[in-house]
Amino acid sequence: MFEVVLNGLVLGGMYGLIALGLNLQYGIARMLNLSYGEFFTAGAFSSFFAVTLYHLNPMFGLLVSVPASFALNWLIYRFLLLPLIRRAPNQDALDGDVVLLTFGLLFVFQGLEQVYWGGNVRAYYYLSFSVDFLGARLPANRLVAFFAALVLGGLLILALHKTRIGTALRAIAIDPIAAGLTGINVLNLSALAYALGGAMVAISGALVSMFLASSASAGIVYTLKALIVIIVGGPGRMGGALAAGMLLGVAEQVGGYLVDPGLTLAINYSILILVLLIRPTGLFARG
Amino acid sequence: MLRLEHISVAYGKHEALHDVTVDVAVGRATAILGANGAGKTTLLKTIAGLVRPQPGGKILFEDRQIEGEAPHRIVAAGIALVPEGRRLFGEMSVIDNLRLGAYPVRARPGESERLEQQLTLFPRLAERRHQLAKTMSGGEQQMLAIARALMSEPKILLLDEPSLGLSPRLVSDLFAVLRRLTEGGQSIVLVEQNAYQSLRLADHVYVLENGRIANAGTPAEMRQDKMIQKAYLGL
Amino acid sequence: MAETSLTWRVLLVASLVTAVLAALPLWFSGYGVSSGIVYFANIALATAWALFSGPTRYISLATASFVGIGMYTLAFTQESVVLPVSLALAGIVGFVFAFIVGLSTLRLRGVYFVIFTFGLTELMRQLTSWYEINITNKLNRFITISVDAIAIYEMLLVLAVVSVVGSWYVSRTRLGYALRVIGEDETVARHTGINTTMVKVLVFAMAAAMMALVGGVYALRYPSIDPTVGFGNAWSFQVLIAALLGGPGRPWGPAIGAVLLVFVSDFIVGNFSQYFTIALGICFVVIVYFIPGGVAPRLEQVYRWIGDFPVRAGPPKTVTSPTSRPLPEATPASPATTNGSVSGPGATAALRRSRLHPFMRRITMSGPRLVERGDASPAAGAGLSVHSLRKAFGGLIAVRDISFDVPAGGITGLIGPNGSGKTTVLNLITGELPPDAGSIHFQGEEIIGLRSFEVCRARIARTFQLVRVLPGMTTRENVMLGRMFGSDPKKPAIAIREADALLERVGLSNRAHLVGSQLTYIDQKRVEFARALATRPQLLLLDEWLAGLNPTELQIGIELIRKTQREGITIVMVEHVMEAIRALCGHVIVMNAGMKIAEGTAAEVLSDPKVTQVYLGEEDAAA
Repeated sequence: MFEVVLNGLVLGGMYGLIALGLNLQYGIARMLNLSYGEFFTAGAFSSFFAVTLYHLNPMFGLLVSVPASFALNWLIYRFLLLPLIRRAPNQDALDGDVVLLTFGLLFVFQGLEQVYWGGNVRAYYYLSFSVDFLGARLPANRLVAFFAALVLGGLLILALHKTRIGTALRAIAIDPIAAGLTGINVLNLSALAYALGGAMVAISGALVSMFLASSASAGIVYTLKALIVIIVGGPGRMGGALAAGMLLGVAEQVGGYLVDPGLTLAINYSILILVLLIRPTGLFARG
Repeated sequence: MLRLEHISVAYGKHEALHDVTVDVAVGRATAILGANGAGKTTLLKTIAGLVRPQPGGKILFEDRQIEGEAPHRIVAAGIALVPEGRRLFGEMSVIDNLRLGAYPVRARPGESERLEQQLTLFPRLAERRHQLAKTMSGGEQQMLAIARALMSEPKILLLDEPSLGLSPRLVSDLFAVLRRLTEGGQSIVLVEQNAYQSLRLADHVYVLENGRIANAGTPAEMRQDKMIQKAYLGL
Repeated sequence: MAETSLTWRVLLVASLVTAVLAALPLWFSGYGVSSGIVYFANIALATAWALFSGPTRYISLATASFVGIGMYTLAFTQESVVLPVSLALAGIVGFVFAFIVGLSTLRLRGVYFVIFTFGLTELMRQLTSWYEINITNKLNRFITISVDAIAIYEMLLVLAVVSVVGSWYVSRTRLGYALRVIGEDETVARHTGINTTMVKVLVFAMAAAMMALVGGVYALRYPSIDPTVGFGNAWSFQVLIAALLGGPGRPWGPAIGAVLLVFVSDFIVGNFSQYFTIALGICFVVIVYFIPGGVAPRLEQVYRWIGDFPVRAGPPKTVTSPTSRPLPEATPASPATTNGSVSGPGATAALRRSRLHPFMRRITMSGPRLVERGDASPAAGAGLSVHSLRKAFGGLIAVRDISFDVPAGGITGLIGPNGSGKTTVLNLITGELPPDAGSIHFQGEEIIGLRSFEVCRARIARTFQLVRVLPGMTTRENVMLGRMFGSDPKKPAIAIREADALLERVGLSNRAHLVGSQLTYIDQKRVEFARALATRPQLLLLDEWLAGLNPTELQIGIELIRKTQREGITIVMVEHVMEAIRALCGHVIVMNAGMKIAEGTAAEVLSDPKVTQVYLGEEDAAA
């Protein structure tokens, strides 16, 4: 059972990392990105090709996927999403437009991936031996990914609190109007946050690809998981996302162990419903 | 140094400001009075770039036209707004709020000195420098909002109803601070419902009624003219 | 008579079209019939989707869930009952399932609702897969009923026609209006007496029932079904695109979109199948940017340009006599309402009692009859009584143990500087906010705990500080709302007449056809006033209604208020325009920082030094 929980934490840490990028996009730039998972897939595929085609360390895939994801997300925000803000009469209409647009992008990207890389499931082997960790046996690649996630997440949170730009980003998340009044260029920084979110999810994709298979159509599942994590943790709360991720990971593993491994989504979903009904601002929200 | 010419603002079909012309001179305290809904807040929001005036209106600041520019550029130019309701970053500490006030590049050199300056001017803030802004009392929050705006070293400080929701004693404290600022040479534009204190502080007064300038002059002239009392109490 | 004749004409046209389409298989090949099936299924689904998601703008991706439920209900019951019963069960299960889901989740805001419905489909698929694998050890489920393709064609044709005609019909009933209002401004909906939750849930469930029916029939095409077929996301996305493409604002819009979509999809799949997903995505993007309203309104514009065809979005503009048809969705009056004409003090009590049996009373909007028809007599018993009311937002105490009485039949002013808590007091009275402590009695009954729409039905109406005129509906429609859903609800036909009378009284008759966003500020205020009056209140709360008016308009406004009070309606006005307070109010209450600091006649209060100090500042503060 301990091993199950530990597995859950490790997995959950990954979920938390995956959600961090979306938190940047939704919590700070305030745009929900339903094509988010496609950039995860791009990161995963990039690493896959690095290993299988060029026989390199999977992290070399990041050299391509991260800048591409950063740039593409920035462009999307600047040229596709910003015009919607100017056009929308109210927040709900804007949300609706953003959802539809990013759904459209999801299909376009997924379609492109399917055309160029095929619909097959891809996986590779890297660090797949098991190690002893705190008395349990876990695959090395998962552990490496987990620690990388912690480090990355920690760095991000540190940057958000200790740097001037990071503080400005947090300010935008709290009150974009007040942020403008203190001289922060809200639109530019929001675009930066959005692009950064894209970069982060590409990194997550690369890390996860070490131990999970990916396919062109899997992106949407990760988007959904990330969404569940940030809703449960509270949009905009970075620490909350990590904590919620781990909670979900543990619940999934424990639930799968006790009941049935085929019901992971049901467990995730039940937690989502409970949170939405009881405390819709999120478990770790500002309140 | 700051001049609004023929400024009109409409929210949908509601004309909040109509053909308003206002002059703010250096080193002076200008008060804008008027009943609720007269358009005072809209006027400040227009200067600060939160609201766009209709075509034809101009805002000139130090010979540059700034109407319609984004808020952060207005701050960079040297005009800082202390908004109605304060709009502090509640989950951040006093220090973080103040630091953010010095975000414009222009204000970064000398940030630490200015920080100390604010903490001296507002001793209660110094006591609570690591406290979260949202846990402070109304009066303390108002002080923090003013201090944050001052951190950007503004040439003109705009204040939107700073006495809102404060007890009479706190209102006195607030105006004492404002007086210290004006005596030190800070130009301010003050929008207030509280006419008496504003008249004591200001060098020049404008009265807004239904989106139009109804009267303007020195505080002495305003006191003679029963307009204020009429506007506020319907006498 | 115009209205009934329109209905008959529509039914006639619909029957003709159905007959023609039904006869087509005689000349068709198998491919034609197959095509027809796909077209009709999508038309039915898209129209059902737009019934709910169109006016409310809640984008639902749960279509696949309901289609799947329909399919699986058929699959589970096919051996036990005959086909018609099986299908009926599919519809019922879909309805019940959607009702339960809707009740728990329709309070979610737009974005979360989308995610939720999407996840619901994923969840259903996973659960069904798990069940099939673990209980029956195989993923597919055989369909043992054998039905001719032509029969499936005819069934889906019927469903498509019912869907479109039904959608058209609903848009003309109060239910349809309620939906539109909810989509435009839910706060206004609540305050005009619409039980927003119930309306949303009901229509959501109705749409789901149709989707389940389509699913059940569609399943008959396959030798077997599995969770991916039944709960495939494609259903949700295709239907969404079809409805948006065609235009959810018109009953026939989604049908056009469905036809377009199926046609184009066939073409793409036939020739560029690997690009299908990309094409779908581009479709979304194009819709969002270039045709946000859908194709239908554009077609209408073309049609109008060609032949000057008058296009109406709502009910006929002229009605000569009330219809006597009962509303199709009406359920028999519940026991709590048969002593229907309960007036005065017992009204709120009856309202409370009836809340205990929500499924027995009329769900939609008529609610219990609280007063006699056309009752405009002065309120019996005491007016409004507020006692030790308290409300805090976090650390900020907005209303602090305030108590006051509003005498029935008079005009009471509530004044005080900005931030003194006046609007919060109004929000507490209308049920928008729950108080932390205290009580509010209206005509002797406690009204705390009533939701906003119930407060409206208890005959308390209000206007808003920031004018909330529904921008997409005409002046007449805005005022009609009050009459259709307020304390004495009437059907659209009657509501139109009485709305016109009210428009006459406030001087808006010649602008009755203008859409809300076209009105001037003063006219918008008049509309709000008229709408509030249309709900037949006995207490009217005006929230800074006279703000921003020039002297002439101010006099007109004052006269209107005076006239209203003379008709027996008690008025509470929150105001800053002191001239009006002096002219109108017999009784004035002054608030500051959440507390009452003075009370009396206007003259007394406005010369009270405590009050002048609070407004003007201290006269003799220490220098």
